[in-house]
Amino acid sequence: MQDDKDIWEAFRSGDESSLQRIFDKYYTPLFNYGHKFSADDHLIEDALQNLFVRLWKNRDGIKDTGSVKNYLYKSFRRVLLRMLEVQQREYSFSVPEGWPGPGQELPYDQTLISRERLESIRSNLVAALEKMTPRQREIIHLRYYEEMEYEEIAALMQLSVSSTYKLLYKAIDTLRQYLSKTDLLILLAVVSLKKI
Amino acid sequence: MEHQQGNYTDYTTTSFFKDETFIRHVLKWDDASIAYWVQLSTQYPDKRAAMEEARAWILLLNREPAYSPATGKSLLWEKIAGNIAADEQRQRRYYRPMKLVAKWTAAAAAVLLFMVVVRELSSHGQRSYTTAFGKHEQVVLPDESVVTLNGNSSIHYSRTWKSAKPREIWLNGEAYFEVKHVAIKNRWQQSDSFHVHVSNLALTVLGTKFNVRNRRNITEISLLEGSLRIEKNGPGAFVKILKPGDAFVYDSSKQLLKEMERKPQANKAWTANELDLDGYTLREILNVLEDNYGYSITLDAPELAQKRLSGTVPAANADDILFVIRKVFNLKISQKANHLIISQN
Repeated sequence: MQDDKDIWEAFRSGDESSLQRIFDKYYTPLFNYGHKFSADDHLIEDALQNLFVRLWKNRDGIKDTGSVKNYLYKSFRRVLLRMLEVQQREYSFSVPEGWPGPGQELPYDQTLISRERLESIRSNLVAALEKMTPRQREIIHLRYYEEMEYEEIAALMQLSVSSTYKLLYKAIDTLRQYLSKTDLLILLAVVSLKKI
Repeated sequence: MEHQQGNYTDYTTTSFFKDETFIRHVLKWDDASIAYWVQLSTQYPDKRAAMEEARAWILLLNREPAYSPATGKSLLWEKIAGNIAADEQRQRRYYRPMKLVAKWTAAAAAVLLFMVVVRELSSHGQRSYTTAFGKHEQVVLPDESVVTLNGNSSIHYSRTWKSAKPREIWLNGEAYFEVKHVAIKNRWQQSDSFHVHVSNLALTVLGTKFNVRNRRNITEISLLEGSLRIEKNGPGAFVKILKPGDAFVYDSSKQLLKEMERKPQANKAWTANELDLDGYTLREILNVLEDNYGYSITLDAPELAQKRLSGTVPAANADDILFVIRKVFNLKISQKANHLIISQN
């Protein structure tokens, strides 16, 4: 498995198959990210097509990049938001969906938490996210889903690093208001467990 | 993993939720991080619920299933590839040739400029004119003197003629000069003179009209107006002053100057596209054809070489002259490219 940088290098020197490999690798993540902004699959497809055709056309002028992922996300976000702007749609960022429903467990969980408690945490989290502004939801998504660093998020969202901190803390502050009420019984159950 | 044991007494769910180390542990735990956080949970039993909740948040957010669109990935790539191919086609057809043209034009311009510069520098600002076989050219010099060049002849001179220096010009072949008189009346200075360098002679004039013919080491100087001084320096040096109507011929191989039988007027007939045959032998006429029109001629009738002719024939082109000699001497002329073979009929 070649790493991103080598493939990127090959693409920049005119290898179309390398661009296809980049597309294959990032199609799902980018689509997922785009879906947060709009439920219109065709629009996201257009944005992706737009992005990759433009990458190919401008390959001579594209600089070496520290992170291919960040470069793609940033370009894709710009393209998609521009298209949404043209359609005069407001900036939005959807609440996560498709989480394990009631009665299901956390992925790879060691079943430390009772189902009831997990369910209450989950519904509170959803409620908190719904309460957030779209930008707060986006930063939560980038931080915890994409696992990006502050600097990367700042570059992607075109914010200063300090504004990024502020935005994330505001989001977390919203979360605080939706803490689940831990009752004594659950607490006792937790105490009896050895591992987290 | 080494941890600086922090103070967690004030930690709440959100504190854990935004703690870098905690996030890393939840998402990419290893033995060391498990040991650390298990140890911590025994140290702060009251924080266990908060840690648990923060961990659930992080995992829920992180493990959100990726959205999968109804449409296909490969279908979209086909669209992109098609788009790219179409764009490549356009590039090849329009932009690249244009870029190429622009590139080559720039390169050609640079080369041309370079050549011009090199030529200017190497010729020290010299100006030169050269005529092809059978062509005449009139050149107006900076002082408004006029030089008429016969075919296969050339002149060159310095581009900048300073008034404080004599005018100088170099000649190869044949030319007729009409030199403008620049001297003020009753005052003659060296700087007013006009020099023609031909073969190894220097001709000095003021305002005059004269013809100079320099072919095959023979230089003929015919003066029509004014006065002219022929000067030869070095071995066999001499000075000869010509009066109007004088025509002299100098053979540089024999270093011999002698008077010509032909009249100056006959020698300048070529400027009117005529050839005055007065006193010319057939051999001399053939020389003119070789020198001025670029033929190489073989005369297969040596007995005719010294025959003389008189009269004037049109000389706009070589055929006129050839026609006349063919008729007069009853010759047969066969031509192969530029080679003429002349024999008796």
